[in-house]
Amino acid sequence: MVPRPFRVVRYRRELPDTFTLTLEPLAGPAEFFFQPGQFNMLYQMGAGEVPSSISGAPGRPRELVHTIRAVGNVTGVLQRCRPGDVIGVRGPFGTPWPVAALAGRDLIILTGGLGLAPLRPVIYAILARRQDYGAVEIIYGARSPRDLLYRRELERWRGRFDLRVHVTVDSASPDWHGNVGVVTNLIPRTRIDTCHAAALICGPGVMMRFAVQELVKLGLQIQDIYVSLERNMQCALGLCGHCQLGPFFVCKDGPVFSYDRIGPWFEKREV
Amino acid sequence: MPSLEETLARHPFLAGLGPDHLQLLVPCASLVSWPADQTLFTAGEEAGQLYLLRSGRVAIMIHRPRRGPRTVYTLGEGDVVGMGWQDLPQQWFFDGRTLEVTRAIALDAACLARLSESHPDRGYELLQRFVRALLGKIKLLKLQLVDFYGS
Amino acid sequence: MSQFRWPGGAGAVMPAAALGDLLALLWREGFQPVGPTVQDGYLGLDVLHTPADLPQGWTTEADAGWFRLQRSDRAAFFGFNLGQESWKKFLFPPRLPVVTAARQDGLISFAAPARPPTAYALIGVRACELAALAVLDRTLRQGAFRDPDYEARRQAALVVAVNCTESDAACFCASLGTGPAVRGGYDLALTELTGADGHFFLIQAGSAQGERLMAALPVQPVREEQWQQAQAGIAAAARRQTRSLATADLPGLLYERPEHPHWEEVAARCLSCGSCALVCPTCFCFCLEDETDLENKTATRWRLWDVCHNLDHSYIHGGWLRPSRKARYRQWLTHKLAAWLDQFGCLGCTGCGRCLVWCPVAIDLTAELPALRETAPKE
Repeated sequence: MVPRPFRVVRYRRELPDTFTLTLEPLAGPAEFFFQPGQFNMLYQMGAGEVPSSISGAPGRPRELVHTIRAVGNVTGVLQRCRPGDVIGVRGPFGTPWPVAALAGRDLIILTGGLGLAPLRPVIYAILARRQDYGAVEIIYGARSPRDLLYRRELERWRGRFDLRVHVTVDSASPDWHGNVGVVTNLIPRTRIDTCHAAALICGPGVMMRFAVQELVKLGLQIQDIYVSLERNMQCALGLCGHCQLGPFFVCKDGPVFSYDRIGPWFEKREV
Repeated sequence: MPSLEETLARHPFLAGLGPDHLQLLVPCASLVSWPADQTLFTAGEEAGQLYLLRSGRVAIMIHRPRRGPRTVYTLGEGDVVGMGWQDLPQQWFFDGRTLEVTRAIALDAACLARLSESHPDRGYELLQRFVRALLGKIKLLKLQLVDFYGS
Repeated sequence: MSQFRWPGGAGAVMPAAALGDLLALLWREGFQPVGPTVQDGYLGLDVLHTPADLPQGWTTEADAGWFRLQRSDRAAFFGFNLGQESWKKFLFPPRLPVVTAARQDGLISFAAPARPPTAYALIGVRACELAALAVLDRTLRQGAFRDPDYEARRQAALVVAVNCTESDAACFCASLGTGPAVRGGYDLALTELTGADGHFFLIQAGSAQGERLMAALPVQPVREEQWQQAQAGIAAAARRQTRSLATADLPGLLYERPEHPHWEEVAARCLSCGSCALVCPTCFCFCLEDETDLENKTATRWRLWDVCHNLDHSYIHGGWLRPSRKARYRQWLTHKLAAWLDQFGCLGCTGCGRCLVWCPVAIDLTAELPALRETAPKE
């Protein structure tokens, strides 16, 4: 339950309501090891604690990176953090994306909105061992071109010969030459081998539900589809009870689940 | 070079149609190609053609007074652009503009309507495909209505 | 005269007056005895200095949405069943500081508040409550993450159990096999005997510590008729129970019927007050809350009991995952009787009946579960 103090070393405004903090520990080990998909509890003194997935590179454990959207009390205060400020960090918690186990597969990384942040460590991990994977396609949707997270990085990834990046927005002015339409629209455009493919999905609940339907239509098996869930999390230790979804504690049994495990619960209402 | 009939057979919208059916379509079809940034149609104009996109992308835009055009949808390879062949003459409801070099099969709406009159079973098959494409599009547009990424 | 051996230890008998010796002994050994006591007409759990603090001569009547504390003509110390409070109040306190933070010179330091746990002696723990402690142990002590505060309190605690020789209308431990006889998990177990030949406690040790304590008490061998009387009392308590809970089809039953119309029916009555979860001896949900000084130089992070009937229990930015009352009651019952089995290998219910007693509108899980078991009525 006791956080470790971390100093903010970099603040970066991503979008009007979204920002990235780079942190380094003030005490204890200088390296913070984590696996893609895991999250930390970030504590802002006097305001409280919030779960936040780690969005940095697992291969660079000396900097802890979190991309956060200011949507509430604590995240609102975190948005005012500047280099030199100190916050508390507990973690890492939760199950990771099965990055190593997916070696040899074709991959669809499908995400919307801020959902790209928890998947960025996966993209870094895959790019660090690109030869271990088959075709990799990133599908990303946002509300408008102005709401695209990590835009320059997306452009860099798009420029690579070994990645296909599809970006779509809900509506755009004519200077946007990319796709317009929901993210699930792009799923049939992928050129992966569905017999050997896996999908990693992170985004709002509706998006994930429809994305799974499209992927299954394409021929993917539900056990090859992984989703990351979001719930009220307070202790992150599987004790406080808030993150329950059926038999699961999302904080310790998740947040990453294979869809064959979580699907039946995911599709029930208000559980 | 493949024949027009072969090109028709390769498009997902027409995939699986019998050779005689494709034969009937050939007189209605022509191959078209546009450079990027070309206006294909403007709202209010007569919509005499249906386009089965073979490559490239087309933006469907709505023009808003004072605020200019807004892209609400993009269509690409395999998609159908058009208002159908019922109740002719039809008018385009939105603007259409290519985003990149785009190739398509143009189907003449009046020709399709005549085909449906003379061969109701063939017309029904085409209509079924059109409705299916339309429903898929409507489903996606409905998803677009909820703030998909906001929550 | 024959002497009986109960499973796990030698039985003995002590005069009722020796209860004072036991409390004094526990105080001397550094324990803080806590147990049932009546204050201002309320039967609660609090510190016991002498046997006079126990609710001697009181009895209870408890049924769905109904509780009465009444005078009884018996001299029994434990002539009642359960009050509103459960022992989790001592082992898993409703309000506990878990982190302190201090800001100095632009730096922030964090610490876990140091607190040597109070060594409680829990006096008068019933079989259903022993079972509840075993459930809490699985939840808080035996999972991947453990609660160090609970662990410390639990290790330090001494348990003096009491066999029930009466049942309230709300009791259904017999159907769950958790009572009314205590079966392990205690240091000492008492069975209170009142009658023509005097007022005694049958006493049995369940641990080395219990045996040691027992050796310091004025105990005598048990007489056959005393043992018979105790057994008959416990058996009668089981027999008198009218409520029961059938659990063989769980968890599947509840998992498969999230849209059963009966959920709506319960939701129409449920007030979402959360009483059932607060009085439940196994409910463990908590929230964390910060308290700071005016200058925000020091902060304390408190762990507070929370209940899934609260709307905010399921809050994530932008809304609640269980906005309807139906969904929240369903979560509570489905967790207790289904998910718990998957999570901890046991039910979250031990048949104490507190949830139905203290429900202001008498929602009774022993009635709701069978209603959910019935197939949807045909329209």
